[in-house]
Amino acid sequence: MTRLLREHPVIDPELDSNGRLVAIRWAGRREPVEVCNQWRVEEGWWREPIARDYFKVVGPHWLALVYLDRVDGSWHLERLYD
Amino acid sequence: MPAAYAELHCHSHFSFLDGASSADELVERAVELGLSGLAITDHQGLYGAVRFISAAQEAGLHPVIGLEIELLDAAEPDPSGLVTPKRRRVRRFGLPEPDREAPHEGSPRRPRAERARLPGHREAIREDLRGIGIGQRGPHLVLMARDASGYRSLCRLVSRANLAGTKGVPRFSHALLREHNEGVVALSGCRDGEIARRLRAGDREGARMVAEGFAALFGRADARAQGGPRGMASAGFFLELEHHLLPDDDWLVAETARLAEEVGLPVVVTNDVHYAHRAGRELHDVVTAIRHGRTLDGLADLRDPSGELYLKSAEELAALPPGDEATMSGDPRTARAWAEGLRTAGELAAECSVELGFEQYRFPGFAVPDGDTPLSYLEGLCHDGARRRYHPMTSAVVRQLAHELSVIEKTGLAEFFLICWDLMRFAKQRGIPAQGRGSAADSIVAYVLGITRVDPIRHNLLFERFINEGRTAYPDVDIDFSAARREEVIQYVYDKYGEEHTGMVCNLVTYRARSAVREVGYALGFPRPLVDRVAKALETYDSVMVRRDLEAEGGFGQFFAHPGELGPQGPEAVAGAAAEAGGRGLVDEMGRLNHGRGGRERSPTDGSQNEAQADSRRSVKGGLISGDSPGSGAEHIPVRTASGTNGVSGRDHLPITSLPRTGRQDPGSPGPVDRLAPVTTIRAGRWDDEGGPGDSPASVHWLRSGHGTGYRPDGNRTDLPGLVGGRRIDPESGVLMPPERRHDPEHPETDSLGRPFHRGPVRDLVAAAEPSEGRGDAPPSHRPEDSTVGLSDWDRWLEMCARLDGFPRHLSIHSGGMLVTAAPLIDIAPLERATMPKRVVVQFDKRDVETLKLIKLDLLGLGMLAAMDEALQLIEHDCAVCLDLDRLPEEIPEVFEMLQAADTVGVFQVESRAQMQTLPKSRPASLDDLVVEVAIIRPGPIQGNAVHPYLRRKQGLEPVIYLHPSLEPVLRDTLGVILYQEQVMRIAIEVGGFSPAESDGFRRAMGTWRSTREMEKLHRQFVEGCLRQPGMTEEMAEELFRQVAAFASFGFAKSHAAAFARTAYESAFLKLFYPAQLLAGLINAQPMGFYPVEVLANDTKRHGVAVLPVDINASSYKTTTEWVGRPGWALGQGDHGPGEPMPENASIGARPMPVRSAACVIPSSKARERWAAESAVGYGVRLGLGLVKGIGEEQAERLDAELARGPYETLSEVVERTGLSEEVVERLIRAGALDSLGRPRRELLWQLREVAGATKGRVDGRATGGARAGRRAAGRPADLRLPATPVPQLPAITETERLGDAYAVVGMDARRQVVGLFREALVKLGAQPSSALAVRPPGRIRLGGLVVTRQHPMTARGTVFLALEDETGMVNVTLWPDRWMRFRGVVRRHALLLVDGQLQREGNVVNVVADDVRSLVEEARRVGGPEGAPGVRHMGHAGMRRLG
Repeated sequence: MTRLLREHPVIDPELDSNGRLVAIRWAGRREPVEVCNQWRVEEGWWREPIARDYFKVVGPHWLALVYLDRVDGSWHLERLYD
Repeated sequence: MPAAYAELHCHSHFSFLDGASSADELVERAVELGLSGLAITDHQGLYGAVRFISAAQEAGLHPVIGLEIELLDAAEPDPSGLVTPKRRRVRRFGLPEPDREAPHEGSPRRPRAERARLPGHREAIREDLRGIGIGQRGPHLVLMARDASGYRSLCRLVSRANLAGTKGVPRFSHALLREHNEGVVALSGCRDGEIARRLRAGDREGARMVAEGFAALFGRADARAQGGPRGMASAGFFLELEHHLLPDDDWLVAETARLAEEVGLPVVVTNDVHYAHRAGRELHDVVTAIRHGRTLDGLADLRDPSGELYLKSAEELAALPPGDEATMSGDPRTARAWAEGLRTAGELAAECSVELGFEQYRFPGFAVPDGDTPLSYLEGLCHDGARRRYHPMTSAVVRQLAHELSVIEKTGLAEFFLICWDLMRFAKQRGIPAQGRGSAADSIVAYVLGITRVDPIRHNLLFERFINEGRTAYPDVDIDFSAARREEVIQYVYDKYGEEHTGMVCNLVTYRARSAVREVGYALGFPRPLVDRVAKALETYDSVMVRRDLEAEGGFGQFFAHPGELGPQGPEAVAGAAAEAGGRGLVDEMGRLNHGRGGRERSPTDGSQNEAQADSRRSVKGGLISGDSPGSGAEHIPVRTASGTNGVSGRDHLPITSLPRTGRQDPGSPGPVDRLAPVTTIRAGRWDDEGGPGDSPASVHWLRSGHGTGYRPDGNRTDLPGLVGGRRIDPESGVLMPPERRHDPEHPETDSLGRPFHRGPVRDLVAAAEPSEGRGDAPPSHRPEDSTVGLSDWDRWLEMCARLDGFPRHLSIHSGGMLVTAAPLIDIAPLERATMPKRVVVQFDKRDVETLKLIKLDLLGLGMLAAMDEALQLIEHDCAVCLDLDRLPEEIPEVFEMLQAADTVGVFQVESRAQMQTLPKSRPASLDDLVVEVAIIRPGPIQGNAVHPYLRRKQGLEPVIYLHPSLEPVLRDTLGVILYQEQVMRIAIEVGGFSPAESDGFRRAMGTWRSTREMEKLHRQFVEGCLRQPGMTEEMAEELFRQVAAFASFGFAKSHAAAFARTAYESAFLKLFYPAQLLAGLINAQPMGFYPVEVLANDTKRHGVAVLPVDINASSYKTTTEWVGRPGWALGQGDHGPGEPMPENASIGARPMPVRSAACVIPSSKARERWAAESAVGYGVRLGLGLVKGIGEEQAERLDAELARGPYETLSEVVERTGLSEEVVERLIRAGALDSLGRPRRELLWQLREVAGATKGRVDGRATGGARAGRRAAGRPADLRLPATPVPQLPAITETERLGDAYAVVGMDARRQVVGLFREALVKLGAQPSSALAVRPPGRIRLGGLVVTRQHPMTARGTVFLALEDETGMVNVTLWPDRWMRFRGVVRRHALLLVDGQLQREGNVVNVVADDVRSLVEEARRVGGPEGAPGVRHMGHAGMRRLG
């Protein structure tokens, strides 16, 4: 089952010294993660721009899709794979 | 860091709507980024190669020529469709396409035959590729030319593929590749190359075989060179590594690198560039949408998701994930390959070098008789010709001839002249009217060979303007042929020199204002009726002017403008730049506020009111997404009330809610009531929003409700473009669609990205990746410069139009440029098919061909030659007079009298408004004066203020003075004004002491201002030369140089003007003495000239010539002349004399009276006796059936044959014999063409349904009205000869109806001009007929008329000129810019106008400056005049000519 998170809640990323994503925090939990794939989406400039770097991350509990919103620099959780 | 990287895979806009930057931009950017080279590899052709190479060489960048081809077949067997997948069916508007037959093996599938087969064109089926992504098309392969042989191979490959296919659909196959691989370097292509496709499909074995196959075909790296300096670059086949931050790119790069290592192939890193800068992706998305005929939203997976296809520097590429050692720590092979690929790309670019220069491929040999050389043969022809042309031969002629022949010998152009001579000989044999124009007329050789008709000795022309020894560019001979028969000449050239050596130069069709507005509008998702209306409203051709043009009226800008943009000064002031800039700023702000949609956290800078807005938006969204009940979408949108706005009002809201005012208002106080008034009430009636042609209720609603602004009155964002209340407007019909589930940006895996992600195998879950730029710590600026993000929809539309301006859209055939080459053309330039059967065009346009120094002949079609030719034939037929215009005396005083009176409608070159206004002042009295007249009324001299000095001097208002006596012989013709290019050269020679060859260089340098240094050198040389003249002071020399420099930029070749003046003189002669025949010729040669047929015919009628209406029993397809008897005034009986009896079937009551006015010259009987045949005046003009809409060339033969068989008696006979469709017969009835059947028109229309419906709505086996035909009442079979059903009593049509129908169907009425209908009302209104103007004193005047032309000359800076015609003549009406702004709506909507203004008079030139313009029909109604004729209004829209 996949949970889509309609509101795309903001998460706190933890980056290492090289700027790589090593853990995410959401809803009071911290999950150390590894990135298994990443890609960029730039879209919708003619209505409201979407510019995101997506990361598919895996941790001990979560397999998740998170993204960095490049418009305002915030991180969001989009999808959790159970 | 690689020292020299070159981008080898790059698309310019010559990839035709797949690529968003010009070669210039790409080159500029490549230089900025420090690339060592750049290859332009456009799709399927070398269209942009020449421009690119010139641009690159100018910028000092190493260019590589290449292209990306789409192969038809896979290199290895591909039974499962891995490489060329089966195409899914195209769906449009939810309708399934009918099944297509299975295509042949290896041929591209045709989703839909775009066009029916054209006769004679076996495969004229255009593939419709809209909606088909590259993934569904053939595999790509990039080819580049390593050297000259490579360029030749590419040309041959492209040409062969194109000649094997149809227009725009070349057939590249592997078989063809194998034949043309010499000197070619191939790259494996993007992710849609065959190898990448196989890899992505999991077919590693296949990919490997393909790679080995290509390596064998194009050659591996030279083993000896491998260790040497050339390294891998000597190979012929490379695997491309590309990384666009797509989900599976990491994997694909790694796999490709692995394959390269296994097979031992070199790799290059490329970026498949489609635009120079990051912001270019926006335009790229737009052109992609245009290419697929979809909106941006509808593009879905056809869009590029990451926006990474911009030109990147080596550093940027090296920083991508594959180049990052850390990322690839588990896979050092990929990182290694990436670094090597970057290096190799630079080396490979350096390897590829092609010089384009084709001086050596001159002309095909021209066969001359044995014992002759081309030159000696030419000499012989010249001497024969000179004896024919000159009696007696003067020494000047002999001297000039000898001089020219020696120059021709030195420049080796003898064959060139022989080719031209041969063409003219052919034309003469066939009786095709032809004449050379342009600078060729400077040459006596061209004159004696019969190429030109202007005697250079007589006109004192300068041969050096045409050819000189110093000239590096090639002479251009432009030959005009009768427009109707040019094809024959072109075919002759093909036959004579062979298809391999002959090709037409292509003409690049580029985006101009209107096409850009239209297509960008559709792509941005605006409703189709709205886009059509905006496009129709455009007056300009220049995309950059679109904004000024559309917003000036107080029309569209306001619809779209944010309400806050409207300043307190009212709509007139909105066009002002200040208001615009202010508005822009506000929109920017709003644009930013608007980013918050999508459930994202708001940044702290947003105020609380934004929270409130966001809430409301969420509720909107919720309603749409949940979609609980159909139709609920609209209700869920909360309509903000005034109080609601007030509830959250903060100071930020004030400017947003200040709305356009309803009435007069104190500028300082935006009253709260006004602010909160709903937009709709304010706009109603105030602006031009009643809806134009093509508007639907939905689009008007959309406009009125302010949706176009993107903001509601309260400042909230409204719907997206193309939506009304959340519902989509059907782009075709303009009807609101049922609410639908919208595109949802929250689910990027399916929707926002628009594509299901291609999941590569999950690889090593190694170290976390790093976002390549913009980390969480600092808010990254993701928005590239020049992005349109944040602009309002309207601004974005205009901005995109401006960016699209000048983009090539497709190729067409140039109007006449032909390349004739010695070497097979296929080696020199890529060829492709044209739409026209059997016609082949070169992928280079005129400019490119000049750059390549290929010689081209311009074989142009000239409508006037066709018209005059036809007139001459009619004269011969009617009057038994064979006129030879070559022998027409030059000084017929009556002709000049007519020209001086500006009675020039229909006369070549001098019929325009500007010409007509100057003719009475310049009063040409000789052919030389006419040459000046032709040359001077041009944008250049008008802007350069050369016109007024000449006119004043000509009128004797100012003395003719010369700066220095030595100038007098040069400038005598033009009264001391420098006007011709020849004069500039002559001044340089005779005053400045230049040599003839230098003088041409001087002229060119003056005209173009190439470089300041060069100019300075010439300046010194010129001044020093001048000072050698006795009596010349330094100041005078400087002044002369200044004058020469000022005039050289727009100077006109005198030879060209002289050739045109001669034609103008001849057509003036015909107009004066054979008006009927000339009119017939002019009508048949349409479209041509300045005026529509109606004006030409009315003008001829005013000269006393009868124009007879279209009549099925008298008209042939073409317009002809018909004997109507000589009128009384021609027989000396006075204007009201009976004259000769009129024939019975003339269909008009009486011959028209000549209008006796100063602007209407009718030759005296004495002059007529002397110059014209006696019977000429007895002929009228019978309008042809071809004037009726829907009757074309293809029906001509049948109609003429049936007419010859005998008269039509009944309607059913007409339907049967003519085979015309029901609609066309209906038009014939309405035009009065069936009046000669003797039945009333309404009765005929009544019967038509029955008669034409006889074969179930089908005539001649074809449906007559598409789907509608089936629903028509079935008729009774005609061949049963059943009696017609009785016709009820029908009222006869009124004169207004008759006139309206005539204008609607034929565009004119033969019997009367429409304004005559209103004469009574006009008299009541106090308006004057235009014939009265000539004798009225200046002052206030009122007149009514039909707008026949409207002009917005660029030179007049916003002033608009209307030609207003009534039944007595034509008047020029001037609208100053402020009047135009005010009355623009009226003028554009109504064809019949009532104008109040000031009558101005300057000598004999009459002009009305308008103060007030109203609709004539409405004004006439007030005084009880006739109702407007509906067809006339229609004509005002359709028949209008736009003249720039």
